[in-house]
Amino acid sequence: MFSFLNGKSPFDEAEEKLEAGETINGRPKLPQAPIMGWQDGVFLLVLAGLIVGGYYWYQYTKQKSAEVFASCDAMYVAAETNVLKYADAEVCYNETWDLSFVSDSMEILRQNRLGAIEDMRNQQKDLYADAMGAMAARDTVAAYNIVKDYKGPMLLSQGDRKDWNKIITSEEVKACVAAAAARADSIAREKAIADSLAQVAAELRAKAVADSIAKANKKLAKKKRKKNK
Amino acid sequence: MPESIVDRQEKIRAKFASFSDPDDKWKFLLDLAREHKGMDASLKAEKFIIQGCASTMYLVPKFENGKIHFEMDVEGGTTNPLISRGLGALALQIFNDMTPADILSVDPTFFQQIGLNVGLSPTRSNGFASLMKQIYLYARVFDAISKK
Repeated sequence: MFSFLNGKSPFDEAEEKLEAGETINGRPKLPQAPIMGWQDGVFLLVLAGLIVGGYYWYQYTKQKSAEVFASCDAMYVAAETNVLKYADAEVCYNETWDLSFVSDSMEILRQNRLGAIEDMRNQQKDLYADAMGAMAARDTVAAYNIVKDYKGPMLLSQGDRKDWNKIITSEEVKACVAAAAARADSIAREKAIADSLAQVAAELRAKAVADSIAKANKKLAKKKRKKNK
Repeated sequence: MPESIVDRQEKIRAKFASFSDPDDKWKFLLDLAREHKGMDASLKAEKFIIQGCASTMYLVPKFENGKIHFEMDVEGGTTNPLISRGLGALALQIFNDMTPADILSVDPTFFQQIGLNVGLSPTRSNGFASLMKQIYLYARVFDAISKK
């Protein structure tokens, strides 16, 4: 019974008409105005539309966030068995910054997982620094071994990644590693030969000592026998 | 009577002791981060960056009336480093607007004692340690200045 837009209620209008002397059978004419004007109807419709639309939009963003987070979660879980997936999981979680709805539990998961990936990156960065240091010191084999032994995910930046991969794929490095391996192999072989020679010599020495002891014993026994005669 | 630094520590200790779920700690840090007001962009000079933090953390000290007031903010590029900001805000809940002597009286292992470092990633732990180091350093410097 209230008008929202023109600031008047039907009662105000009735009062005005009564003041103007409008009557039916001596009684004041009752207001004939509609419950609300068309503008009020439009206003209420828009308001209802906004409330319903807002509700559905909220449900939609909530659903979308849940789906995106679920896919990131799946990638992160998969990365526990396939470390290469950590980079994908990181990209996925970084894309969630654009989502308009993120619950507290999603936020905690995102912060902790991105933090864990950042730790892995820092670990690889340390190894990268060690490998580059070894390369600078011309210790190619050490650099190669650092890179080769790394089993974690590749999380370096593009430039660093190039250097990292170069260490493992460079023909020059491969040649150095092969030469070092051959050297190590020949050293090992030489050592094995030397070890076996030493073993033979020791055995011979032991035999010579045993022989000389036996000879001496024999001599002593002979002397004893002569004496007894 | 203003709250003493010991009261502040006890309040935080009690808060951490009340956490029953491991997520409670993270929610608390997220809330602190969301409530924390950043700082004026004009204050964000390179000399105020905490070295050793993965995110860019600024800590700007102001020594007034014998007390140190800190402004802190964290930037993470395209990401929102809420945990780091929450950690910074937590530190300021104890140290902000305290005298250098008060700050230096706090046991550096306090946050370890209350279990803050449990589950905290090494990078964030290191970052937090760097922040603490910087706070103590400012306190030492202002302590020396105030005694002159």
